[in-house]
Amino acid sequence: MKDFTLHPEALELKKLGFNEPCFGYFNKSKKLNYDFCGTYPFDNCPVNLRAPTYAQAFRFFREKYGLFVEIKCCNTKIINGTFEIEISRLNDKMYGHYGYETYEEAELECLKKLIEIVKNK
Amino acid sequence: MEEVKKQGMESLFVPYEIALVLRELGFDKPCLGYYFGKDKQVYTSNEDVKPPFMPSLDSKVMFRAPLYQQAFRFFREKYGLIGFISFNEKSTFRIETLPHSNIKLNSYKEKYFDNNGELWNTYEEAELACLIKLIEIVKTK
Repeated sequence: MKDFTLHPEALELKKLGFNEPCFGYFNKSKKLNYDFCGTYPFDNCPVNLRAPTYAQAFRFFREKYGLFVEIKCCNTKIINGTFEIEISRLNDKMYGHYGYETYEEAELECLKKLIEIVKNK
Repeated sequence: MEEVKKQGMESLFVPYEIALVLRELGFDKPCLGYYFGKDKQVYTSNEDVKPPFMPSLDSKVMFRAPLYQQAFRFFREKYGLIGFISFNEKSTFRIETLPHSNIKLNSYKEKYFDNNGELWNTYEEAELACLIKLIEIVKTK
């Protein structure tokens, strides 16, 4: 499934305080397991890492940090068909970039950028 | 199988009625949730995403409950149609739909939608409205 964040980003999300139930987790070998992990007893297991979906990750940044993302398609003649991302907080456009070949590529880059913004603030 | 009622995870799945329409439109990807009969409560299960899988899931009695992100991907990949939510300075949301380069709905142009002159107050409301709009576009083409 393309719906889950990757291990490196899941780890960063945990460091930033993400602690919600998830539909999967990464085991010690960083392999994604599709097993529900709630708040207990999962928290007592230091080996496993929650695997948020992208929607959960973006919701985390909206709700905890007030950061909003837009991922859309560039519709100009020159870069038609590629994707662009925009990150904003209220009136403030914080980041924008375009030229991603796939939505999934844009989505991952967007998440990496959100993590970077929060870590550097 | 576990009934989803913890901390809003159910909000990640499309509602019952939308899931039914998506099935009609051809959505058939493995899902992390399903609906049972006329029960509008979503249930989670990993049986559809790992072997030996769950063939009974796509029946008249049980059917898949896609995540919102799966539903939006379905419209991108099957219809070349992108829906997304914009956030504005008044802390409200609006929705936009536009074609991707491999557009199959040739006559469709980029469009903005509001909520009868207003905008949506939450991301989740806008997300649902956007999905309903995508369905409407595909059904009326």
